[in-house]
Amino acid sequence: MSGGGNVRRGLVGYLPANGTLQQLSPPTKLLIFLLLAAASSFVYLVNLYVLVLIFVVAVILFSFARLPRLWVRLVFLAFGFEALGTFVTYTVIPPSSVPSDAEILFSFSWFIVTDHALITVAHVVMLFFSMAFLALFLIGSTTERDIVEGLNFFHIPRTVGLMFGMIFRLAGILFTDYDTVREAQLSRGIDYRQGSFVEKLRKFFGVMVPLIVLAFRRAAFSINALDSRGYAIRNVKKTTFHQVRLHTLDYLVLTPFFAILIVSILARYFPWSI
Amino acid sequence: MEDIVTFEDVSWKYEETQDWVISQLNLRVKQGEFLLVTGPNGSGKTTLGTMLNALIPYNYRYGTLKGRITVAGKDTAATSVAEFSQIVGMVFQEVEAQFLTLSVEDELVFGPENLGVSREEIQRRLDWVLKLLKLEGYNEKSPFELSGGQKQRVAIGAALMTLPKILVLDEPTSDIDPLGKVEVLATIRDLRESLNMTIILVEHLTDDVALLADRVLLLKDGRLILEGAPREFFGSVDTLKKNGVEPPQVSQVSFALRNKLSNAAIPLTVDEFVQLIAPKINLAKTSSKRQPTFDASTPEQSEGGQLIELKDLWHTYPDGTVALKGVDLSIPRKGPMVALLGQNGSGKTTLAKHLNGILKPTKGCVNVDGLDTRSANRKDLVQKVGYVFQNPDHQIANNTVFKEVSYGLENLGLSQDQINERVKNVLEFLDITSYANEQPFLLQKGIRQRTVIASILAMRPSVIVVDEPTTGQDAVNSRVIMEMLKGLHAQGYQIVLITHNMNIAAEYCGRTIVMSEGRILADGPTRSVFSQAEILKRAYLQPPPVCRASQNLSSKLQTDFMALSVSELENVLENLIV
Amino acid sequence: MSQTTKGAMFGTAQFMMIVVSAALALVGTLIGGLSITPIIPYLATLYVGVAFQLIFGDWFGFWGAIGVYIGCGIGELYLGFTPLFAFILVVVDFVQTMLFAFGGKTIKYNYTLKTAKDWIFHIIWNGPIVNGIGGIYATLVFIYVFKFIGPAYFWPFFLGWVAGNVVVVLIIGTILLKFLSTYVMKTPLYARGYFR
Repeated sequence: MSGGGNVRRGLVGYLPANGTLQQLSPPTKLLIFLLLAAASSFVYLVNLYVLVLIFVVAVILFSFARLPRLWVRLVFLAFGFEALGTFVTYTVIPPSSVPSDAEILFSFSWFIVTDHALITVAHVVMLFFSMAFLALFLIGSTTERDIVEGLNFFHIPRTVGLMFGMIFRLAGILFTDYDTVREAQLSRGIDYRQGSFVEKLRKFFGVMVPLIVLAFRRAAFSINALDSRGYAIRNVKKTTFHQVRLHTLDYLVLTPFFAILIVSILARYFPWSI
Repeated sequence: MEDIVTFEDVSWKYEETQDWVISQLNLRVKQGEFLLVTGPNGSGKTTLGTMLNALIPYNYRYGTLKGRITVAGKDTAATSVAEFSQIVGMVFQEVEAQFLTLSVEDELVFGPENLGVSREEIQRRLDWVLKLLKLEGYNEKSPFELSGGQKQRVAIGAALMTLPKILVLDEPTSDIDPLGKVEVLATIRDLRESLNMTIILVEHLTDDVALLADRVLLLKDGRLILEGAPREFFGSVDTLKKNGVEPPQVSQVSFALRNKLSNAAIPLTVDEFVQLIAPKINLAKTSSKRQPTFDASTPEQSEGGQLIELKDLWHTYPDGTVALKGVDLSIPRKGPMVALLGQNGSGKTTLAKHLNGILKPTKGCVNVDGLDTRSANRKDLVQKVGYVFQNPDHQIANNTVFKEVSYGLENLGLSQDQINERVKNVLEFLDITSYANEQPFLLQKGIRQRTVIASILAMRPSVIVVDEPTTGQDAVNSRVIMEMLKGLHAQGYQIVLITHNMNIAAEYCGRTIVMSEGRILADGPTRSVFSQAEILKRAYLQPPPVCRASQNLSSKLQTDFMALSVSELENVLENLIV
Repeated sequence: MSQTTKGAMFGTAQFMMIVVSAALALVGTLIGGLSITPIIPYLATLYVGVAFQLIFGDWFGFWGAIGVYIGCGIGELYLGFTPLFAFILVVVDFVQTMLFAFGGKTIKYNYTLKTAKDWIFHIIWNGPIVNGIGGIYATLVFIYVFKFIGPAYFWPFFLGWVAGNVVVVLIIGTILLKFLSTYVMKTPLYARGYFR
């Protein structure tokens, strides 16, 4: 299903096809993700201010990606749950586990809130949500081909680029197959909403087994197709037909992200805040 | 012309097979020759194709190969598949499974990139192939988003980009609408003419391809049974039918009338047939306004009221595609088998999925025996309308055929005894009882298909929707499946058949619905729908050869008639030929 | 001339083993990560992806483990882990898959689970032992590297991880092994040894 002109089938659903971010060249989009991810790794548990900055930038990027609202809700559900879990594991603790240098802000039985715990939880929450928004930005603004071309740009070996392309392609096809298999089982009266845990598990198999078999059948065909097109030929320097280049816009867009990375590295090695 | 392919006493068996799949095959193919390889399912045609570029033996590591195969002077047992990629271009049967990349352009350039061809040369070849195959402007599109005919052209283009000496195509038209098929075959013919390429085409549907080839081979059980020039080959109608191959329809009719035709050369195309037959028609017999021996105006009657009603049905997919645009349709409780025809993307599968509530309407409603599909219980719906998907692998989820067939029944809350009885009956009806304890994934496609049909049949729906049951099946298996559906229809099941096979639709279905771009263009008795050439053309369809032949002869017969099958046309002409 | 041919150590078949196991691992990670069924909130979930990730060790050996590493790593990126954290974490998936492969290729138990010995090995080795080793690594990483979990929760997290995985592997993994191993062994994707 190719759809209307303004949407495309991505890895996890239908996504906008046209937009500001979609116009950037593939390595730029990949670099934005990697630069901010690296920056957040440097300041995690070191500098909350810079981490919050990264979070704000991630939200701005995410808003340009114009993803379906359902995805946003799912993300908040999943990561909110995990953030809550982090909070619990740092605050519901035996009194003997409280670090000696931590200041207790509130305590009630085993519920002990310390400054150390709050700061750690704040870092974890900021990291989770920054990365979540960045990942959604990546999904929303890049196609699988962008990722492969981005890898090629960085001189990642061709086999690896091809492998990633085929992984994304096959995963995308599997999501489509998942819909078809579900429909096929619906046509036999399988209602996924009803039944006990054991019955739901059986229904789950009714989808997973055909999905795996389909994946293997496609993969087996692909072996022949790859070989027939000379993939495994030896002693030949392979050509890369597409050459991706960065333009002025890409350099302009990347500059602030490099700046954030530099600030993050400085913040790590010249600590000045929480 | 020298030989470009030689098989010397070649035999092959896969690791898991007891019998030889190819047995003592001796074959020579000349450079520039167009060879058609035909035969029933399991005859070894695809295996033969896979041997030509050394996929066998290299990718089938534990099989056993005897004899010697030489392609362009190279021994396939001593030359890698990758080296053969520059000599043999392969187009596989499953068109989507051979796509490796994410755009048409990437797909086309993949081969020469691997071979280290320079960028400039790749660009030159790319421009040439896009123009040759009418794919200009499709560079950035995903191959999966193209029509069936376009996908096949991309697959052919990808094979051509390495400038092979030999092009091998394995059933390249199996899942395409009829005019798409004509396009692909015309492309192959043009390639042959412009490039003088050696072409080896594996195909079991012989209409449309017969005249393209220089020579035709018949394989059965891995052995070469018959070979010859097309006219001589397809003239051996009895031998072909006995060995599971249906010659072109017009050839069959001519063969049946050979005594009256003074054993003239067997025609292979509609035009040849009309040119042969027309002068021999006894105008005196036609001018008496003698009616053909079948009645074109009284199709099987509908009765029992409407079972399914679609009212102003619209369906929009999440990506914005409007697949159905205000469809009105009703299917009676009892009536002729229904053929649902249309090109790829016309909406026929979407419409069919509404019939048992797999899809819900965006607008309008679907009523199945009093149940509104928007709110009806799933279990109630599937006992009214069963849907058999095109690819049985989408439905098979159990470890044995028996469990697979009982899977749906377990969800209906039947007792184990009731389930056992229904499964037993249905396995017997479909003649797959001997496979009851086998693992369905390991069975051949035809048996997997029957397993899935059994699982739907066991639920005893009033209507069975079958999606492309004969795709990839040879003539014999296609007839087995259709006769089984005909038997079910005779027992009172209403059958809706989605198909690209116009021959099958004409012969078995008394009612035809033609769709295009989400709308119904025609709905009525098959005979009258097939006589509307313009409507069919809009839907990218063309009637089967016997229909076209009889339409062309109509003016001679001074009566409007259309034969829907070989036997119908034979019967009419039997009485009219001098 | 009669011949039986053998394959390359890393040829196209091995390439596709990595691709198919990575694609399925990616799908499994996304489905598992986004539709978590909590036992104890955050501390133990039924992460369904693990079942068919680990069985790739039995079917594809080393290449299955590489595929799982790549697929799970990509999946974790989509689930909000930084690239560094994602590829540190999914070492556990690589190790667990290789431990499965060890069972299949060195110990050579029959993964179609024909005899009682096969079942006992599968239940003990593929269940608590493999997942116990993975659980230790994952717990240490979550607590001391990522600091997503407070150190007081070592045992709850470890036991939750192991329990959740063992349930999934021994139910879902077992059924997939029994259902599909015979089929997979007949495809060109299957690796009889670790590599081919």
